[in-house]
Amino acid sequence: MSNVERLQQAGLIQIHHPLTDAEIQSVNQLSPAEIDALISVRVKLGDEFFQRKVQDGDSHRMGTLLL
Amino acid sequence: MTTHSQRLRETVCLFRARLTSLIRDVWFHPRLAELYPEFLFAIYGVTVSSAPAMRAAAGRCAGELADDPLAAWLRDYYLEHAEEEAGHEQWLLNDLHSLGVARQRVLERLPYTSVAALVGVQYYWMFHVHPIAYLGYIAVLEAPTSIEFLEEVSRRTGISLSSMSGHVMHATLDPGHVAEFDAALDSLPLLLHHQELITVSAIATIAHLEKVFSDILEHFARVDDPAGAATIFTTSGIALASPSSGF
Repeated sequence: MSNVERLQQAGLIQIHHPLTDAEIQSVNQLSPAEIDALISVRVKLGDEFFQRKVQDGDSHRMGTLLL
Repeated sequence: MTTHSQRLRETVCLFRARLTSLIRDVWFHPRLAELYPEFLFAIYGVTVSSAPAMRAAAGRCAGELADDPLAAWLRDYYLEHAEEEAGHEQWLLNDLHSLGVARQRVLERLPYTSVAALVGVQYYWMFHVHPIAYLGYIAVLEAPTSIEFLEEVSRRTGISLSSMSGHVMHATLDPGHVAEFDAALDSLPLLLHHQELITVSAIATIAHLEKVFSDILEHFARVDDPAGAATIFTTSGIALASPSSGF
């Protein structure tokens, strides 16, 4: 089973969410331990809802926290 | 060939959409002027831990890991950055004070459990696995807000930039830190298990930060409930500075 399929089965990637080739490549380069961590903490790959909501560039402008 | 930093950034970028959405919900909250002190309180809880955590990681590198080929580099890196981060929590205390929240109230209030979890997991990894894990935490957290964005927020909310000094100072001081971090990461002779630990640490950091930002919003949602609002820091009843006032 590929990494993408594992994350789809775990509900972290929506089945209907069309992944780009680059996204598929990024997911599939992760190791089994890294995929296990994603499944463990339930961090989802952004689905269509989040993709719509997060405007281009906001991520960089808003930053994350202070460090 | 994909570098360590490229691989890490791709993974973080791919899986931080929900976190970005929550951060956006805070920054674009319709009552951000009132919510901002609660936001600062959450950040204070994280910031106050940064220099001590890096010193702890450096101490581990200098102790039982002294023979580890990465230990000397990591020790120097953490000590240098601990020095840079030291005292930054004072900016946040000053900001909160300027918004009407006394220092003593901040110091007496229990930090969010989600903040403790975010930071605490790093101590587990640095003491029981390897202190290189903290690089995954830094990779997610070290992303300063842009000064232009802060100016927009000030205009939109009326919060003076002088009450956002923690954010402003990081926007001013840190723009080169991300590139420096990536270059440093790519210079390291990482083995697969180091790379995995950094990535897993970054993934856990994203997950815990999602909870921190959810907590900010959930706490503030109780602000109009007299029973729930007792501990929440807001600017309610405080006259905000003019939107046009500068830093």
